[in-house]
Amino acid sequence: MIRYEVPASIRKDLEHDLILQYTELPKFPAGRAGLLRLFLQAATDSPESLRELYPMAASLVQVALDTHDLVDEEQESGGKIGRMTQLRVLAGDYFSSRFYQMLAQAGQIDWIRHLAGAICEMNRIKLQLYLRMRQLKLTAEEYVQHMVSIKSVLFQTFSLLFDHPVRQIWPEVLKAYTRCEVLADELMRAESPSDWTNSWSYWYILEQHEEGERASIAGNIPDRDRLKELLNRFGAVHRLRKLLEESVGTFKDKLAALDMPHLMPHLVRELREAVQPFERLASGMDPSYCSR
Amino acid sequence: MKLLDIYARKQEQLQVIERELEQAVRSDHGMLTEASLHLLKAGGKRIRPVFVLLAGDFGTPNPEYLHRVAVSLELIHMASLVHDDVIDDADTRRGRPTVKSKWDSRVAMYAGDFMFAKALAVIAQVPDPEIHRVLSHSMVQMATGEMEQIRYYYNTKQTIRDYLLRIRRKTALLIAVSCRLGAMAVSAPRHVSRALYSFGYNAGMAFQIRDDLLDLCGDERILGKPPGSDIRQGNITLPVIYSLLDPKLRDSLLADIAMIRAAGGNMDIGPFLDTVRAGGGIERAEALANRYIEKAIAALKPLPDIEAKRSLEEIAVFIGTRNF
Repeated sequence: MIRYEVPASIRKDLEHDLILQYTELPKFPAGRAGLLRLFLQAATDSPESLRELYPMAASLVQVALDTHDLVDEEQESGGKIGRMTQLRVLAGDYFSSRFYQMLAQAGQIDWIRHLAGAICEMNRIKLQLYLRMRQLKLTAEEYVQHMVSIKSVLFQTFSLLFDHPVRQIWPEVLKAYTRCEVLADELMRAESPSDWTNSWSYWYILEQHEEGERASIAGNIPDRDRLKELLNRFGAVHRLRKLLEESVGTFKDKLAALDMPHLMPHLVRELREAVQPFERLASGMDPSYCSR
Repeated sequence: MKLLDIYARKQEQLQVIERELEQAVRSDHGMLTEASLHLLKAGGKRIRPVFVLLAGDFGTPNPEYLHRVAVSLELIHMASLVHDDVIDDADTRRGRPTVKSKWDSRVAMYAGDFMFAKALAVIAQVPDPEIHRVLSHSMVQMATGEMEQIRYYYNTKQTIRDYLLRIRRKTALLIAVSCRLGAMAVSAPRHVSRALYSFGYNAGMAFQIRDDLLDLCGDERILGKPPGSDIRQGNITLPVIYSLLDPKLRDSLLADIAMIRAAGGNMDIGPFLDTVRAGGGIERAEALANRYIEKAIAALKPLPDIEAKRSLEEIAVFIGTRNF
């Protein structure tokens, strides 16, 4: 895994007592933040303060917008909006305002504009995915591609900071790494009934059914035994492992473009090590993997 | 001078801002554009852009920056309304279905985030770092205030000071910042932008107190929402806090509030409204709103005697007496 220490200044934001009291937050994008930080260190001469600021700001927006994904009226009893939903809305808005403040305090106005553009794009993709999900018109691969786009679009913006050839390589490495993350997370939650709806396995199994059968499968949350039976029947976990293995291979191929003496051999070494947990997970050797 | 005259005098600029608002929220995703335009087309007083434009008369004309500031602040305000309707589970706003009710909560979240990002994209075209520091600081305070408000839901022990701090963050800050940023966008002297901030702050406080009074006493047909929406959400406003201080009303109100809370706001709140309306809380809240209006007008004193100053005074008077 790529190591990334969540800076104290945003840890304080994320651990606001009301937020902790009423809701859980989505996963912090430590892997992508760490990846960006490694690239900024290796391929730019930006001051250290900015190398710290950019991953921090992008991560905070990611958490802000992902927190809003948790807003779902059906989750609360009787359809009535409760404190948990209210706090999710407000926490997301709070993190968004903090991201703006961070960049404003540092005088990084261009980056406010760049990231604002990326936020618009992310919301466009999220809404597109949401509508396709509601219509049950989504394949498992389309689901992964949407998730990769949603998780990488903010970080991808930073390619502007790099010179050729890293400017071209950064989005490819980022997307390949994010795909590994998405698939690894899907593997981890594949056997959990509470995570079933809208998971990769869900879309994969729906895809194996005729259109007329999908609504009844989608409408029922299976218990643990039934889920295991479904996963086995369609070889879903095996397929996921295979996809993860292929994605790790793709990531390593992308690194080859960086593996030139005048570029960043030390970065390449570090990144090769970073995907080892994904490899172990794909081979079934590390059931304790957790990308947090 | 009448309020409509002020709008008429700024009509040309307001039309430009209206077009820029519409332009800003257009995207290549149909539903995102439609949901964003839904609230935009519902109209609204556009009070923040008006404040920006009037404050902009106190410096060297710079319509480009001024319009960007105005568009951005209105988008921030609209994004917050879209999210507020999810928080309040509101079905109507300005007499029309909310984004949350016409589509659903998730679409409202995406539309609000999209509008907020558009607001940042627009304001980021203004290169003055101080403008961003002022705006972003206020936005953090506003967001913090919104979260802190949760602590006060159905809290009958809250003080008048708690209430004032809450509405400062909820409403007054954005109006104060509208005035200040309008002045900053045209490079007005610092003492001018400070005076305008103070005007906006006090006018904003009066605006929210008036809003809370209208929620208890206003006409549903004019407001576009049923009276008593605040207490149904657990939001205890100034007239209610004053009424709770009256020993003759206190026990009855505490019992009503406990019942409304237990029913999750879904009950007949007529008796509660009657009690508050019959007590002195309404008059006391009106008096405090008027004091804020006086302070707002007093804050304008050091400013040059131009038409914009008289317009701001007129708006302050309107805020103090508005019934919609």
